[in-house]
Amino acid sequence: MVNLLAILLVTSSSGGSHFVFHYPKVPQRRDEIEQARRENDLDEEFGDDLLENDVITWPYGLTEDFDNWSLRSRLEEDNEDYDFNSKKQANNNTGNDEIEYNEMNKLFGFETRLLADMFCPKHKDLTKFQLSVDDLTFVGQPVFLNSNIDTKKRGIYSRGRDLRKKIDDNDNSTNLDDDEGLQEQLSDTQNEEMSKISSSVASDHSNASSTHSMQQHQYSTFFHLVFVLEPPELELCRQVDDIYNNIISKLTSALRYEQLRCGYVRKEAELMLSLRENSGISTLDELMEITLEKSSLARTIRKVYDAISNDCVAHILINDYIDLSLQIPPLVPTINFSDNDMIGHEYSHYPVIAPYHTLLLLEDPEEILKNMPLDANPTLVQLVQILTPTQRLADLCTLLDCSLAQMFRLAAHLIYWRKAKIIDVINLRNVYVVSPTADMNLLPTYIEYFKQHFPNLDLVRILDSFSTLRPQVLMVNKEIRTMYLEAITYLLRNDVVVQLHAYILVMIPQYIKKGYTQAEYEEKLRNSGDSEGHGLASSMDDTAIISPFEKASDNETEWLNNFVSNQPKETVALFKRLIKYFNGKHHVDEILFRESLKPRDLSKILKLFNKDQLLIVLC
Amino acid sequence: MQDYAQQASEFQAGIPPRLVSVFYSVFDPSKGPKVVFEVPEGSIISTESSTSIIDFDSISEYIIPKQQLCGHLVNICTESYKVMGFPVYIRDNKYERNAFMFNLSFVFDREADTSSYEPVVRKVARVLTSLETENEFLSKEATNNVMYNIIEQLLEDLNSYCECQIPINSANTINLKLFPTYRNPPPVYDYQVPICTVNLKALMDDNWDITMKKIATHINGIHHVKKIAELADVDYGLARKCMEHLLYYGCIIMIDIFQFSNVYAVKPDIMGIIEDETVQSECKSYVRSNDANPPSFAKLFSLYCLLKHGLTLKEWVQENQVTSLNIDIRRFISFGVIKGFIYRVHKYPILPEPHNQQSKLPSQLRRLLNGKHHYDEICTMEGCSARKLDEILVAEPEVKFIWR
Repeated sequence: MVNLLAILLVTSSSGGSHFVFHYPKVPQRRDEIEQARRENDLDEEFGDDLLENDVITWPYGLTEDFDNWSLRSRLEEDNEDYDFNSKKQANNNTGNDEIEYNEMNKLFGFETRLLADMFCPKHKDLTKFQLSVDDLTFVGQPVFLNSNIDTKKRGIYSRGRDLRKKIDDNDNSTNLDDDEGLQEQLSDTQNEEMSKISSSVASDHSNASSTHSMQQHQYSTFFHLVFVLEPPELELCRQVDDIYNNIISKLTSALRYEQLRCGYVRKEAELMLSLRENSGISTLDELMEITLEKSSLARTIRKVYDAISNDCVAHILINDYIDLSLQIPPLVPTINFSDNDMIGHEYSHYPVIAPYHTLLLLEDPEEILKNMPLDANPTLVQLVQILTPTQRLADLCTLLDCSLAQMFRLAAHLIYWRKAKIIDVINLRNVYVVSPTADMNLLPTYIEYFKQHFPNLDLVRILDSFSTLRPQVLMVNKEIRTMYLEAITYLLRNDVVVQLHAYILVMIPQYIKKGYTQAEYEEKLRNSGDSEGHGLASSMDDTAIISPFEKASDNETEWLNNFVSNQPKETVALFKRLIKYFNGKHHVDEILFRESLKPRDLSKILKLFNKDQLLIVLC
Repeated sequence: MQDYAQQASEFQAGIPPRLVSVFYSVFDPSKGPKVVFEVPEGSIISTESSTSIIDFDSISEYIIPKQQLCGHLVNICTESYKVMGFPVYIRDNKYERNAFMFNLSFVFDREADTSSYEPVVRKVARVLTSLETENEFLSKEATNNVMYNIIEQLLEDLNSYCECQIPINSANTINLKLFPTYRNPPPVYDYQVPICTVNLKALMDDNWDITMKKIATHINGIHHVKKIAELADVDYGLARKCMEHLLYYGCIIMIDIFQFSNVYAVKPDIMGIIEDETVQSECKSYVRSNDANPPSFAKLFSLYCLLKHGLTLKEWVQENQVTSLNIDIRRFISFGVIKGFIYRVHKYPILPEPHNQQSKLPSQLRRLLNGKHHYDEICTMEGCSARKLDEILVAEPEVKFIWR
């Protein structure tokens, strides 16, 4: 998650630097939200009556729950007021036009002209631009297009014109042959030369167009997509790295490619600038609206902003040509090795994928298929089509005729792109509880969903029934089972419920663990009791947790073997197979899958132990 | 609730970063932006024998920027360094070009977390500005050497002692201290119970805030925040503020209110303590009551594992004869909660819509029954016990409970 406030586009040409576009219209400062909340708190802190009837003034919680919406809208008003005032102060000019002018040319309290200058670094080798002003941090990757063409311009001019012709002919609907040609040229002639060509094309273009364009923009020499962040304390470095590595560098290189290929960024920037300078447009609202309508780059920026600020995946198609999926991955390896140097430890917080798991799609399969690129892996497409959360990945392998390793890769891919999550197979024998992280504020939404989709089920009643740990099969009658399973799927998808797993631990007498025989230990106890007067310190009934199977002492093994001394051969064999799982590290479903057992077989083994010797934990 | 271990690791993040270089630059009326002093020498201005770590010309527009950017804290990153400065613009007719511009910039490694330096950089700029406006300290040639010494001492003292005190003249001294920056504390609620992680009484001295002193004496791991506010006779909001301060510095951790009607459940993390002998011995010494010997860890472990959904603490005590075991049940539970291997399962009463409008519930209480408020919260707000609330709600058959 990053605190992305806005995305800005700045270009520069021989005519100077230009502030081209920003989205959203009025960026929402993080501290403005917090400030308003704090003021709210202050009112109520020093108010006489803490328990006022008015919901809004209740301490914490409620304001967030109830009034988020109204608070936000109020803030927006405040925000506009604030901007308004600051402009007045700055200019002492009450003329209406002036204010309108300022509204369009100020952002974060700075004039856009200043911002444009600020984001044009002199240092041309810089790949990662990072500037902070007070609490705002601006990150980007400036792209310098080689403008030094005077000397060679003539030489490549004809070539450039050919190229231009090609581009002009095909315009946006470039066909494949031409693309290949272009790409070849790209790789052949080095990027540098290519950029010369295209900037010469660009210059050519703008010269041609300047006759009917109001402003005389020279060819672009530079463009810079700047992301504005306002991270909380201590998060600056992480957020900057996250957004730079995952979003900025990818988006910028795609734009750079398009610029070099066909002058896309320049064209769009010119379009946006001409709209901005159009005297017919008087308000920022109007400008934003018309810019988004006319410019595909503006729409792309909006899409990226909306997705990233909401922590989602942005699927964009730049200039109808470059397909990009951008996101800040939900999972990244930890690089903090301070407390554990184990190799592979950096992935320790990743979910484990096992053959007995399944995938739960987080969106409709149709929706996912629609967003897939045309050349998607056919097995992946098939998997999304046939996936149901009642089939294990191992079963799906046989259905799709692929290896388990391949299945895991597909699963990991779907998880990485937030299309699915790992769950255990949904089954009426499972035990579910309300998740400790469930968002209770969304309860009304869930209730409404249930009313529409599962009219026979009452959500509150279902959640109420989870207060005691019981397998679902006992609570549901046959007629509504299918619907019930669907309801559980919905609840799992939204993290409202989680499944509990049973872990089995064998408890072993303390004296065995310590390596005594019963008699020795009694003797020892008596002695220590006499000498120290702590008769209660330990007793024969004391138990210990069994050592991991491979570390078990002879004593422990012998003690375990006693359980099956009089049992038939099959039981002994099964016992020996299973005993290694009884250390709290493996849950029942896993044991059953690994040993391909029926629950009946497992319980036969568990019956050999008495109540004190076995600990079954549901968690 | 945050894991205790996670909190501890975050506190290490608060150590201030190393200051690589400090330099003072001005706008020279004839030459433009210019570095006047740098410590250590050669770090900003290249000499014949060494190249500078930063190319000043490439960043000078952010060090001595346009007038609009003056008076703001400006951070600019180069390939491997971060330069933090506070450009100042003083308008006065006495100066050539009618203005004086300067910036005392601090250089760090690019990846350093510099939040603890922000107030320091602002303050130095403020002090220097007032020195300049009062007696032209910066623009006068005579004090130039003093300035170099100041910068040198600043760099050395801040790096070695995290604070410095530099006398300027008879009237002025630069006093700076770096305070570690921690993550902002989560919001504090009335129904939370603070537990001390340090001996607050030993830390306390006469200079402490009076409200804080009053409140700190009532933190005992039993009283919730609202009760503490009442006992200390302090405004509720101020009590919460104090708690936020203590949380920020890691002096307290928040847990839930201990009651025998509570329900707790085990997290899968509990399996981790089977092999962790430090936690085991810590647990044994923490949960023992009086001087009696606690039961073995295996016994304690199995007791933890017996906590589950649908089982109140009272029932758990009865079923397992916990009272005969020489353990302090409250400490037993809070140990598990603090270590993060058990968690409180809160009870959320909910009155589904549409409900019988004629119910006898007070409207204020009814509004709380929307599934967003748990028993602790409602009881604290209404000032009643959980049992009393149970009695009120049991008369309303429509009320359902969600345990989370």
